[in-house]
Amino acid sequence: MAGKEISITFSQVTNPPSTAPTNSFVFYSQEQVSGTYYSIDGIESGATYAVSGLGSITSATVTRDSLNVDNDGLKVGRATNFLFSFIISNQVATDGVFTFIMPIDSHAMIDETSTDLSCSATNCASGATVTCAVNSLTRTVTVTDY
Amino acid sequence: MKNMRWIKSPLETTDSFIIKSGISGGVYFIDGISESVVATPTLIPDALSFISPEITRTGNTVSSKIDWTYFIKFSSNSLDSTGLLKMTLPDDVVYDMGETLTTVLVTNSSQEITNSKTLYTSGALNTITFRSVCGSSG
Repeated sequence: MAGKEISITFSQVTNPPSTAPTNSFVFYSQEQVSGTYYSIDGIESGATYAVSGLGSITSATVTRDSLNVDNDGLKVGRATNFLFSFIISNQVATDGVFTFIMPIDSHAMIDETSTDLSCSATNCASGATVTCAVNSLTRTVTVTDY
Repeated sequence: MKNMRWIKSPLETTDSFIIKSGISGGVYFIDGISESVVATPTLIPDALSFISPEITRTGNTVSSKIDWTYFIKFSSNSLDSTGLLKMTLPDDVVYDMGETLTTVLVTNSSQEITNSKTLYTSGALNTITFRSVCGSSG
């Protein structure tokens, strides 16, 4: 078998819980001598595994409201509030992150002149207080302390 | 957050909010959605308003060649130099004479601005689109 490719299929295993690459698999070929296994060939690094497909977020809605200072938050160009509602398929750890990316040329943008962006949540592990950070270049709001 | 300064209609497939859950650090993700998430209710445009004397014309005789002047005011939204102003007229109000339609911006030393027009089947003017309105007004 030396020099030959070997393929082994494991059935019914579960993919990692996120797109993060795993630590390396460790492979050894071993030989048994008097009841004891001794290593021959091995690999301990570089054989990582990662998935790219995400689980589903369903029932996602985005609702804007009119409750700004002038009560005109439904008009073009005005400050507004957004309520995101959605259902996740997989558990998110309390130190996990939610990422919201605004679409280009439609719906909404991040107000670069405003410093009073705030966010709150319901049904989260930490209570109603979450932390949000804005990157207007990437039109992204990141919510942590969930 | 802030609403966009214009209303895009119709929306395209790519005009969706993207929502993702992820692990600490925000680099790797768990669940996500990137299609068909749009904000509701839809945006409301601000009103353009006529200001006094609203509309004037240089002649009052039927079928005579005239100049019209419209006096309008923008709301709180600005219009940049690449923006346009589009006017839709009712049918059978004014008829195209087959000549070049000249439009000037009275509030900027009567500087000429470009336009394009469409007609109703009756020959009446349907729409007039003015370009570089705010570019000309400075």
